[in-house]
Amino acid sequence: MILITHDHEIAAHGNRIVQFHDGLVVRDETSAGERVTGAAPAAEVLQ
Amino acid sequence: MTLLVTIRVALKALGRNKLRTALTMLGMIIGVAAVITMVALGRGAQQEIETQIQSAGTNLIRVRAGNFRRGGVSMGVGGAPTLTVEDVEAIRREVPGARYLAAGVSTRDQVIAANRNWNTQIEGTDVELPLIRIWDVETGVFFNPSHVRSAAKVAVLGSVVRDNLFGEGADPVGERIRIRNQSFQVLGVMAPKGTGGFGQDQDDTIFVPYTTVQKKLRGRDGTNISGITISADSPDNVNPVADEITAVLRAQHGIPPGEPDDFMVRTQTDITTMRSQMTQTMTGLLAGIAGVSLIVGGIGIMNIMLVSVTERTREIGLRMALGAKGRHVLWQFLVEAIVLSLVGGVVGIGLGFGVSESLTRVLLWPTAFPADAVALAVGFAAAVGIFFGFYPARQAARLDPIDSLRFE
Amino acid sequence: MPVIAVRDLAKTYSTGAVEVRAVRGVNLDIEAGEFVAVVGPSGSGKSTFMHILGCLDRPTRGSYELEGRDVSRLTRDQLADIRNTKIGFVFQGFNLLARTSALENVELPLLYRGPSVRGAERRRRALAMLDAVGLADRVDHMPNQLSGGQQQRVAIARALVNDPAILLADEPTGNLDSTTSREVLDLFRQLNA
Repeated sequence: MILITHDHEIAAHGNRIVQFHDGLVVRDETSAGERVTGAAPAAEVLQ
Repeated sequence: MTLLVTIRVALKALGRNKLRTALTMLGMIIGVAAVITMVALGRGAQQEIETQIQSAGTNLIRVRAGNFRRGGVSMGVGGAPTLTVEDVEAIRREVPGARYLAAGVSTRDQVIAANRNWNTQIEGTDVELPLIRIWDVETGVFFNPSHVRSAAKVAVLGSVVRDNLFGEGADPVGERIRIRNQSFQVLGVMAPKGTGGFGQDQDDTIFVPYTTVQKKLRGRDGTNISGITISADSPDNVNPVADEITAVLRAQHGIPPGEPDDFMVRTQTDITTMRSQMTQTMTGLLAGIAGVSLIVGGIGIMNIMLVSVTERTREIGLRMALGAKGRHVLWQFLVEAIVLSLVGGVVGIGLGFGVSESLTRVLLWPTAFPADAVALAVGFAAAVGIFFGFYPARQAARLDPIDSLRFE
Repeated sequence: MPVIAVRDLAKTYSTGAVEVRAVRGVNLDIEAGEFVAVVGPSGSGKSTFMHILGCLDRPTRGSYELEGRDVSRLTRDQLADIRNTKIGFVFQGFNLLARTSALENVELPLLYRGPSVRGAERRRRALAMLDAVGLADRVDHMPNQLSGGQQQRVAIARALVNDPAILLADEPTGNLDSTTSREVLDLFRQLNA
């Protein structure tokens, strides 16, 4: 299920939020709270 | 997606905008109806000519005094006193292929019976006329050689003359009629024959011995006649016999070689071929004009289909997003165009049939339902649909789904 | 194995002399069962990215694997088949066919399936989907006889009728009021579960 929206409030319904800016992914986080930049796997950052 | 589903999708799309569908079809309907009506009229005329050839007798040869093709002072056909009874005898003697002959002198006059009168053609002829024209006497008899010899005041009526002087279906045999204050005895009535090669009513005429016209009605004695009607012994022999007659008459009249004839020899085939060609040209012309309206109808379909593709850009984009391939979209629009033109074509055939029927009933114009023209019209309608539907359909199939979905 | 695996994905448009680099190298994996929200302002490249994910467009660089199959270099017709069987779309403007019943709208994707689906089977599946989105009693209604929320439910039923691998919803609540939006989003969450 992929939901495309410009509205962050709506986006909050997803359990993972991918934010685009200027042709790149600038934020990719799951609702559990992990936060990553770029497209690196979340696990690496948690270490 | 099967063709059946494509057709259903196309039909539904057409059903969603019924008024536009009907208006688009109208061009096609009128085009096909026009073609059918024109061809039906042409065929009707053609068939009538064929019937006339048969009814007149294919062996018929007519000789007329005078020749309008002659230079100088126009003599007018039948007007020049160039044919005589001797000419008839000469042909009878020297042209064995001329089986039956009848000298002819015609006039027009008022005919009176009791309290009714009627203006009609009075055809002075000879006893062999019914054999030449293949025309039976319905009631009574035709006059005989002794009537001709004695210039007897006897008459055989065409059925129209009988109807007008004595009432429809009456039996006037033995009754008397008056022409130029002279009393004639009615010997018989001819069977109805219908309209002749140039539209004249052949039944609106009275037959009397040609000698009677010469001596009693024209008020001018002599042996001049205005024409000779001849039947050749076989249809194949018509042209040789006509040539022999020409030779005999030129010899009779002492016309030196190189000088034009002072008479005209026409065969029935000459006349009918001429008229047949005239009708064919007219039919071709009218069908051509009607065909143009078919093409205009086709362009109308293309127009509406192009508008439709633009209007339904979002629908096309959606269908593509849902998995429709270019060819699905192409077929949908192509089938729509074909359905438009085919249904329009079929309705047009019905309308054309109705129009030709009413022309026959109301105006008494002969028409013949042209089965091959119907097949042609259906084929042409489908072809128009494919031809004029393909371009808009291809435009639709080439649309980009992203742009189409964004299209407002 | 992720449902979606995107590597170094880029899309460049050339509009005349100007080159527009709409997407400039994106890496992304999405697992089955995830509910991913893609956000960003207009011009951020998210729409272009979505078009590529939806197989409506092809990338100029990089790869896109959908269920392990690289779909970034497929032909137009092959992409149409992928869209038909693997992807469900829900649009902001619903995009239902006018003067066409809810049932027939939901049947639409089944018409374009490779091995053709018989009429009775199409009907059965479409009815089941409409039942799943709670519109069992509205199957014969035309779009103009349905509320915005109901129309979007029909569109969702249509997106799911071919049992796709991914459901792509582009601003699905853009034309709906907040209460209805919540209902539609809840429906997504429920369907995703």
